Amino acid sequence: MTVSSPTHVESLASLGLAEVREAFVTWIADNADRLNQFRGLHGDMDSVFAKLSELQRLLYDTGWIRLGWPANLGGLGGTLGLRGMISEELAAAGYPPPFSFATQEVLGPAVARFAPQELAAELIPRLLRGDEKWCQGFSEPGAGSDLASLRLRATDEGDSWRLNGEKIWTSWAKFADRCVLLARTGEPGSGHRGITAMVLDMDTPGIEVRPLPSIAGDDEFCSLYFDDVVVPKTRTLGEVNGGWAVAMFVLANERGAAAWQRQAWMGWRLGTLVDEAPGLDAAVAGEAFELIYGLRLLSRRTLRTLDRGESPGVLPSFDKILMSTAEKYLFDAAVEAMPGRILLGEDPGAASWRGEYLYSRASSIYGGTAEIQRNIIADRVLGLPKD
Amino acid sequence: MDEFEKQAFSEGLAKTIDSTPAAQLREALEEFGWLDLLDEEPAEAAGIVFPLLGEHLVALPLLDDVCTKAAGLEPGPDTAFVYPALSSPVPTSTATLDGGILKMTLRGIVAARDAAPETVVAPVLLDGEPALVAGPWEGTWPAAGQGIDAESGWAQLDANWSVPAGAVVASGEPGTAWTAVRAAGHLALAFKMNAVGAAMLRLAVEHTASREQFGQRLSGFQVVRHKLADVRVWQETASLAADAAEESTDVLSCLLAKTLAGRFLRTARENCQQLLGGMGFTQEHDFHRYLRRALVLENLLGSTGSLRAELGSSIRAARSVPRLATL
Repeated sequence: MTVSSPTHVESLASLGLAEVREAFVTWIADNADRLNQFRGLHGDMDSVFAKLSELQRLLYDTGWIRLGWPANLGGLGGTLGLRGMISEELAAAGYPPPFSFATQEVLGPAVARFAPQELAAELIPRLLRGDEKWCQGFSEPGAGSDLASLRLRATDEGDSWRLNGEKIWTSWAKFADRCVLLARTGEPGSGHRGITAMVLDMDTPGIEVRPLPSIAGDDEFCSLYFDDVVVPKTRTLGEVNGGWAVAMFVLANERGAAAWQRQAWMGWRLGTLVDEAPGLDAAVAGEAFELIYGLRLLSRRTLRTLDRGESPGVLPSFDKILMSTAEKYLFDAAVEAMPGRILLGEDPGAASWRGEYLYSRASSIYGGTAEIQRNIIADRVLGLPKD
Repeated sequence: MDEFEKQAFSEGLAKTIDSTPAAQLREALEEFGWLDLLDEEPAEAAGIVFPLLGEHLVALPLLDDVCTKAAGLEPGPDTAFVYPALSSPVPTSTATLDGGILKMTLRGIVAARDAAPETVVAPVLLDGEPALVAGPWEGTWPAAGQGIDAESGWAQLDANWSVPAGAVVASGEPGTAWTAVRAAGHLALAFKMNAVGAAMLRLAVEHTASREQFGQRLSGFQVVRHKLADVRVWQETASLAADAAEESTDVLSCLLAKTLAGRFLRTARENCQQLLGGMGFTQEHDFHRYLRRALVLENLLGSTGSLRAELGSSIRAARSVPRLATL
């Protein structure tokens, strides 16, 4: 039987994760013909994004990706684990995450938690339906690892903020409808205490988006220039000068919950590698699986912690290191096993491997570098004295 | 057992280990209930007892009990287990059937004993398939440990052994009995290895936090902090893997608990010894004892590399990636 109505999916959710999983796997199999168009997407980004939005809309209309989100935000209720399961089964069946990796699980939870209720209720359903895309405005030319030194100025104008400054490495800003942004609202030099988070519409006058072609050749990265951009204060996330808490929550989700999606995808990719590369050394395949499994255990713990409504604290720093270690190892292994095809091949599959290899190099940079994660572990887990 | 009971048991056991002379320790642990616990909750028993064996560098052959029990036999002080030669994940002993008699060449690793065991359990290759054999032992047995970690009691065995053909421990498909035994061994070893690694990390943290160079504590240098953080990352991963394997007890989870413990130990050996400077190369400092123990344990029941190769081959053969540790 093909389940395809939210009412039915909602009724399954109360039965438990195993039942929903079984029903979803059956639905994927029953709808293989309809879903096949979403496999191995490539070509220009406009059409790829259009396809991903279509997939997202389909999953929304059938109810599946409304699971694990509260009803007042367009969801069907249930645990965070349901979200993790849905993304896992999609990946295991070879489908891409229908939403940008950097949005649904990274920014969604922060807006749900920190935005005023009406704003969250307005924005989250649009994100879930695939009606719009979001981007994350954290890094600046002078504030990367040292995020707390960011300088983009938000001047208090009573009912609104006036923004002036720059952001960089903003993924998919060219395609985005909203941006979750960190701005300086305290004195210059106020560090993490003088930062405020807000969500702004990308069509607000005064925002200039310039592409910064990535090493993989796509339009992911952008620079943003803000010239007297006015944002209503109703768009503030959390407390004024309390943006650091929002940023840390976003990073916890990126390093933990989104890492769960990533490991599911890596597991599927390892399967394709073993299939496509008969020369792949068995011990290398085993080690790649070991690392992905390590990430799976760590991110599962983080997901469970977030699901209980608790803060994972410093633990996602472990997840982030495993994520970059596993991802780099996997794609190093791919290049070693199929150098001719991946480095020189012209077929779409070769181009995917090449792009994913190049993108994997960034996994120890974005979301907090591997060095920052090691600092956090040395300081806060090992408690090593500095002087 | 709930967490509270586990902790109480573990603390009581630690006191027993601390206060009992080596020669009486086996008996003391049995009085404490080791064999009962192993009988009732084998995975939990490994999770409670083996960390202590690693931390306190105890040289008792309790792994023999774990493997004997997993083979469906009665463990006890007079029953010994013959492990494959170091680094091999498959039996290195062989058997042929000759007129109702199993004739075996036992080649592998055993725990030294003051007196030869009465019963021996050995995985062997019989017609190319792993099989488990259990039977009476009348030969000689190593009385002391050998090599780099003689203190731990591990010694090589090279002996001929004959038993009636009925001594094969049968259980379903060829090799499944051995696979189950090895998985139980992997889990126990993972717990022990993680404790050995934790001790190495503790020693390196203590050393770098207390020693100064260039007018600064060693632990203040970022390169030192990062090397210790790396060890801590693999410790965290290995601990979760051991806990996950204790919970699920499936063969692959146990194998991964062992390889991730191996990754942790390899990083700990490398980074901690480097950060201990000259002290890490002396017998004055305790580090060397853990290093020696780690090297042997990493190679028991399959080296990290050979187990990864086995895992990779099974993924290729199945043409799919296994799904473990579900949400």
